Amino acid sequence: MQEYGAQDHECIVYWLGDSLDNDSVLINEVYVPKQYASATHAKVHEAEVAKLFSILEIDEKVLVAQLHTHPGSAFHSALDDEYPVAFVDGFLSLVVPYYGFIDTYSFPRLTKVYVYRSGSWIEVPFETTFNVISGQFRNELFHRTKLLIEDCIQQGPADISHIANYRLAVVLGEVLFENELKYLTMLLTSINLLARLSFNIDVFVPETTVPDEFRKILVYRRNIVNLIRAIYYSINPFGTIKVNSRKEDLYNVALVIGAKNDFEVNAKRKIFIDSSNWASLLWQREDFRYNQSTEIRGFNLISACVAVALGVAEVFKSLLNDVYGLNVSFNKFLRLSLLDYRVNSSSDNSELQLPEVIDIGNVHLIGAGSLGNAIMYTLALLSLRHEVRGTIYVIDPDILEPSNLSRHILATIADVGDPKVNVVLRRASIPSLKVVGIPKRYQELSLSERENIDIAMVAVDNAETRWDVQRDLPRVLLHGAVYSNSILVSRHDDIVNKGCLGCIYWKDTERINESRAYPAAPYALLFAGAVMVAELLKERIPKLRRYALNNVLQVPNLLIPLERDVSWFHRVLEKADNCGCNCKDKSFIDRYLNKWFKR
Amino acid sequence: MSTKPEEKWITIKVRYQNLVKEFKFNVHFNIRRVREEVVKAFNLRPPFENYQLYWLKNGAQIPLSDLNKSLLEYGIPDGAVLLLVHVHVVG
Repeated sequence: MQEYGAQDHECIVYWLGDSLDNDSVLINEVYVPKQYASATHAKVHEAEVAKLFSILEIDEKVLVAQLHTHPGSAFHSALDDEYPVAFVDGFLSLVVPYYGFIDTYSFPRLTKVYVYRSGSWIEVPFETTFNVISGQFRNELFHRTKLLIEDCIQQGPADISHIANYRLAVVLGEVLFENELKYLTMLLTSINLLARLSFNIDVFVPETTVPDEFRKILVYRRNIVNLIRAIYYSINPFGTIKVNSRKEDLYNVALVIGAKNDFEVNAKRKIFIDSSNWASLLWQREDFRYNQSTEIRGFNLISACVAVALGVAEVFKSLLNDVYGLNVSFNKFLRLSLLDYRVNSSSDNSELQLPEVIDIGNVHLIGAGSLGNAIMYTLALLSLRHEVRGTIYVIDPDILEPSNLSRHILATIADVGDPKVNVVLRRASIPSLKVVGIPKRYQELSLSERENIDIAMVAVDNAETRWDVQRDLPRVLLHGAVYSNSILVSRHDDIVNKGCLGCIYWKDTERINESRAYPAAPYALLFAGAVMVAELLKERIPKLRRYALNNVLQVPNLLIPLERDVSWFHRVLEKADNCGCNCKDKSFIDRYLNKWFKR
Repeated sequence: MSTKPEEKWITIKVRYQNLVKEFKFNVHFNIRRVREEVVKAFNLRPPFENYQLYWLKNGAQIPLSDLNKSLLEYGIPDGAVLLLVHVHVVG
């Protein structure tokens, strides 16, 4: 605009953006059309407007506003009223004074904003129309990623700007067309997680139309390239994602989804992921190729999710090693069963397919934070393939803050400031499942509500609520916790013979000061959330019940290679002396038995 | 004895800024008639001469400037995307 102004000419530009939901658009592109300009007016011909509209159509962008300059003060003239680029309710027109020769601080104060409504242009305040994303927001957005890196490297403050130059590629080849649902799920979930951990990604994927079902999660575009960009920028507007653009000579690391065809991307390290029924697969041997027809026998979107979590953990490990000088070993080959959590067993339990209709019953999800997000995300993914029925009550009193974005897999920047339960309702849409948001603390529910909980999924970050839920004696309590890269999932349905939640949470609680922001890796959260959903299904689907977790699943550090010997992987669920619920008391056990078994 | 033109109808998507509407047109409709129907459907003010239709064909914008030509004569297929535009002037 200033270039035109320097020639004493007015100037027209357009603001384009990505729609995040019905109310918000992220403005991330300025389009300068060819125009005829003079000191008193500017004109964009039909052919140029057609070019602009074709960008909206092909790239699935939104035209948010037209802007033009005035030589003097800003106002909407009669000509501006009569010949805008479009007469559409809600369309914005900004008039920038002094040919745009104003600083960024003055821009919101001196620029006039008008909105078109029912045939006329009405002036509206800049500050109520636009939310300016500041540098401070960027710091908050990556605050917990920084904490995570610091926790991993244990070397004091980390400079996360170093990861901006890390060259990362995500690749999905022609294998996509063998199972679009599975591979698109894996690709989009990878992008979702990596947007929260990196500033720079190149993606290579065959062009395709995205099935309508994907409207259920986060944001939707019909073209895969547009969808990848929209997901990334809705989470991280400060980074850069390029899709099917020119290849770098050498990437630091490439995450390759599926076994076939990696677009000949050249990378120092390639991490391959896939899934087969209940097994999540990961391998790194360049010369190793899965025999698709015999090894990949079917699919289950939970194990697909976990494969992504494992793959992104390896990518993050690679980043820590290359950028921050760590020397963590990689998983060379991993085949993890989501049924019995055995590592590298040969069976993928292909006989145990999930039914078409999955009834999860009545579930209370306590906590819509990062783990609650991962649980709801996994359920939403399941609903892409299955009819997920039942009722889930999502309980959380908190508001989404910018720093939550680094690990809440359902959250976009448009959701900041909203109650977390609303974010979950909006971004994980499962039409066949009744989802009820309760923006309260668990303790604020009525006693009768609390005492009638059948299945409780506890995804909170404080011991008090964990103990309170357990004291209310739900029939089954599924619990998950993630701290940095450590994961703990437990199932409590037999407090007569085994420990309750208070017995395991935590003898070492003092270690974690839960009142401060703590780091948690987004891939570890997805891993834990997917495992909790797997446990929910084992509770509800009779043929899977024998696989239900009967002790504690614990991964002390997801960055350390998972080993063949699984003994460390499980912890026996014993009653503890210092249990917060006193579940050794006879009265406590009697109450549980009377409630669930003597009705 | 005259032969009646073939009654072939096609579905066309028309974009006006962020708005997209679907229309069913007979392939023998001329561009003038198509333009009038589209402008009315988007609740835009006449005169119709202020508006121009473009066909978005393989990423390029083809002006449909001959108002007497039919959709068939322009070769516009079922499922095509048209763009409705007008000039943008500020002062």
